[in-house]
Amino acid sequence: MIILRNKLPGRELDKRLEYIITGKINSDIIVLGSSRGARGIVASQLADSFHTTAYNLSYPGSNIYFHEYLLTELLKNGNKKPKLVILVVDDSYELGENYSLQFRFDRLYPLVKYKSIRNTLIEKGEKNRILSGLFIIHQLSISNFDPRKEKFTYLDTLRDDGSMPVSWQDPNFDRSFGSKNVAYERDKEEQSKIESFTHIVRMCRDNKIVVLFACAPTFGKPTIGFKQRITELAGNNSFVMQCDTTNPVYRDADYFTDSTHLKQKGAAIFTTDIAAFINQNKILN
Amino acid sequence: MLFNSLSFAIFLPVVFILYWFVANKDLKMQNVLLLAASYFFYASWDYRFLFLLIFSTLLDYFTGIKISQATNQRKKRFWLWLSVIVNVGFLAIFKYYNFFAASFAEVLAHFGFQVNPWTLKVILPVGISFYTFHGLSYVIDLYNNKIKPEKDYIAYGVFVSFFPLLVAGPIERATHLLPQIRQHRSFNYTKSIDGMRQILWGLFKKVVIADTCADYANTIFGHYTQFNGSTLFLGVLFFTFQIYCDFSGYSDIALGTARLLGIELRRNFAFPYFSRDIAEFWRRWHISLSSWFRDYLYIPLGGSKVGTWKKVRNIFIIFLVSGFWHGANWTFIVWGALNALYFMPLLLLNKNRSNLEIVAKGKLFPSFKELVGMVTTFCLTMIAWVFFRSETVPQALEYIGKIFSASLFKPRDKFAFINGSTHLAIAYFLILFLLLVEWRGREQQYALARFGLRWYKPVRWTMYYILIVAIFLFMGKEQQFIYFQF
Repeated sequence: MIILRNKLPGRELDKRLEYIITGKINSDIIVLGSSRGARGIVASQLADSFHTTAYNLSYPGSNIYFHEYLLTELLKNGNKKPKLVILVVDDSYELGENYSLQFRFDRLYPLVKYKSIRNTLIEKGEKNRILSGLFIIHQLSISNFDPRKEKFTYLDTLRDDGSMPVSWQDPNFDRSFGSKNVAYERDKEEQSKIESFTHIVRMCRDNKIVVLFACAPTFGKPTIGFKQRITELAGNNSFVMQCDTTNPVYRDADYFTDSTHLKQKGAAIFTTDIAAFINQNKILN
Repeated sequence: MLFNSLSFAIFLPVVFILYWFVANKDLKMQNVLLLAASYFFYASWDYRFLFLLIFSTLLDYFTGIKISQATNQRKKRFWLWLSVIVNVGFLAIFKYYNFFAASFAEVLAHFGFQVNPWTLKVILPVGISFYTFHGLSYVIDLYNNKIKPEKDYIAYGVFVSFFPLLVAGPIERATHLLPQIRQHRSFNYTKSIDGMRQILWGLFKKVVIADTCADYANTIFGHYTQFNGSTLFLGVLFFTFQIYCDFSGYSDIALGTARLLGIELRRNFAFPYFSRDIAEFWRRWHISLSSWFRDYLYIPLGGSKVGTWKKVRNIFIIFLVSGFWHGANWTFIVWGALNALYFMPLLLLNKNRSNLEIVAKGKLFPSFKELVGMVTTFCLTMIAWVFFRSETVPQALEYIGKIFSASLFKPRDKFAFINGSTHLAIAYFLILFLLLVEWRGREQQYALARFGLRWYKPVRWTMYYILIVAIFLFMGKEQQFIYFQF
């Protein structure tokens, strides 16, 4: 069991979490988010724009709890402290319940050989502290016994800069732009998610890191009141950016893989918009 | 303290050692230890409700004595009704008050009167439905002169509060359990080993199968509007196995634990998913509750010895009450009514007792007719579980409506299974494994009772080892048992 556990990280193609745990992240700009951040922002393009280093730590299917966890680990494991954190927020369910966004425990289990990972699994209630200390088997998950080596397909790929832009389009994608006005519903927010969000703001402020909340475009009108809510929670030391949806690019289905995600060429434009916003607000100066 | 928790894993050996090595000489000491352990077990949830449990025990203990001392029928009836009203009253306040208040307000609102119902903000005491039914069966049996009163409070207290059955049954009868409590128990190695095996199988069903199925069932039921018919079908399939493995797993642990302490509890499950019709299903599912309703409600109402329409009425009454027993929600009542409807053809055609024998007894495979019967009953049960699992009746109807749509034949939504295909394949495998082991063991008290006993010892121990390893591997969050909420 010890051999199995210790060999697990070697099977992983996505090494980003292991880099964080072992203090190997060395970037001035860090991108956090779910699949919208992973596919919608090209970190290397940002790095080129500012002649600096940038790395994308967005995980498809991850929620705010996971982003909070990644930032906490990033700051405590001897990684280079970033100057700017871009958190891509999901309009409109960043703070509400959404089954498709989770704390990505499946990313933690291959790394259970690291004590900090085991501690996180215990703190999150996935594992029992005493059993975990006594039995290696209890530290593992059934997925650790899957002998197949992880591999990426054309559906999901991972670049050296941590970004995951794709060039395919979902065949079921309804290519008509969502022009319906939808109002943001605060009563659907979860208190614990708001706390995670404000914790991220606090961590960045305490570590003198500028944080930019970016609302990634969807193939439809942005939710009315969502940006305002994020601005409210972000406080004075943070920036909130929403792309200009009157830009014809964001109304062109060819730039999207589906109704909520940008394609590679859409990601390039959104990344350019972010760079322009950073310049305009002199964020990195 | 959950059966699948580390604290129980410490609690049980401590009780076992004290019981067999310290208190083994004397019956009184055995019972005092069991009562103290049971009260500690219950107080570990919420010590405040321990007083409610003790009050309920004292009430039935004293009314029981009064019933036996009553010189005439009128007095006997008075003490019986006092016990019934107070017991049911507690149940009504803690479990049903909010439901009635809200339903009453809804009815008034329907006629244009807006009222704010005064609702109680109390949590439901764990196991109240179970220990209330223990007490009721005791006083009713006393009233009917089926048993003699228990004068020893300690023994009576153990009958009501015996920790393996305290929070989720099986619902015991005084005629079955009290005689065992009155007798000194001696250690029996074979029975203890058998108890351990039943605990192992129960834990495996709960921790490995039920909790794995729960991951999917919860996700799919929680976001059912976003999924297609085939995914919703999988959701109800997973819930069907979740609830069975959760509750029968709990019962196996309870029975095994009691057997370790030298006490035999009533069987609660007899492989219900191998039933050939719905009547057989109800003779095999939550047996202790079904038989409770049969003995204390159905038979007093006339049972099957009345005319057809009264029989129909009686069946509807016990199924509706049974549904309502599960919880203060219309979903449970509809679930009960639906099962009563399923029962009707069998009742009217007088075929409700046509499948009394174990299916395919002594054979490896069932006949085609038996297989059709099992699959049909299983599918009917699945539909009924949708009501049981849903939060509201309209939600259940919408869920079922989406299953019976063209999207049933579409591929499942992959985002419902975010944990990846590995877990889903494992879940399918576990269900298949369960069905195979249970089918092989269907003629026994529980699936593992004789499974592998004739195997070469190292092979048998390898099987136990695999089950234990699987439990440790899957054990994570201490998941509540579904029936704790009832």
